Amino acid sequence: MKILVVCGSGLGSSFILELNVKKALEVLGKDAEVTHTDLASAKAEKADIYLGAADIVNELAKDKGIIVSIVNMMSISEIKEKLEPLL
Amino acid sequence: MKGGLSLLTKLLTKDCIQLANFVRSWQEAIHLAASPLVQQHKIEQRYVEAIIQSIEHYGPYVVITPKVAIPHARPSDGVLELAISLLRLQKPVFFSPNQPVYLLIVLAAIDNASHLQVLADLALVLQEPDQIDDLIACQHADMIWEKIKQYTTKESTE
Repeated sequence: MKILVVCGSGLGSSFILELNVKKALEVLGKDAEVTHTDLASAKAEKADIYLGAADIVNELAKDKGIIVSIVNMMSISEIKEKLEPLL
Repeated sequence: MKGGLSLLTKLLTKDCIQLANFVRSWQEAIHLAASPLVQQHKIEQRYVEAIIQSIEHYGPYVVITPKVAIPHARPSDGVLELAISLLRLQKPVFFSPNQPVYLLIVLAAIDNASHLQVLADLALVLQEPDQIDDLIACQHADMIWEKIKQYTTKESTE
């Protein structure tokens, strides 16, 4: 299972979100490979789940894989709820 | 790290913390929030324009959690030095009709790695909604700095 966290520049929001995705996985007791990148690179990278702010992940093609949009990137509970059924 | 200052408090010097009553637009908020970094030659003016263009293009994804935005662009957009600045608004600025923002934290990274500790420190501050509200309630730059110091040193001993 590979989770790619995406933001506009791949530098700020996606890294903080990656930290929180890892925390959420820990709470769920699940294991996955989590990395972060920018939108342009994400378009060319294969992953099982693409996760990011709605503005960003909605730019990814629908056939890419599972797309998860996060409203509050600091909310472990939101990330947990949205990831749990997918793992 | 025990007892020492977090990288965030080292970089976010008091002269990079500003308080304002209100601004007319999110663009104005970003210009104001980034102005200490421009004056101190840590970023070029074009970095500020790149941040605004990025938000106009992708939408307000920099609003990382309610009330808080972390505007940033790429190192190649005119960053001269790893730096961070903060603007606290008394009245919120709206990045979208349902996204009021009171705290803007401008990030300037020089590469893909050196700023990650700063972001990890920032996550310690922003993970608690109560801490965000406490920062918004601050009336002085000194108080904001002290609170960030408190939030980022208490867990660094883990």
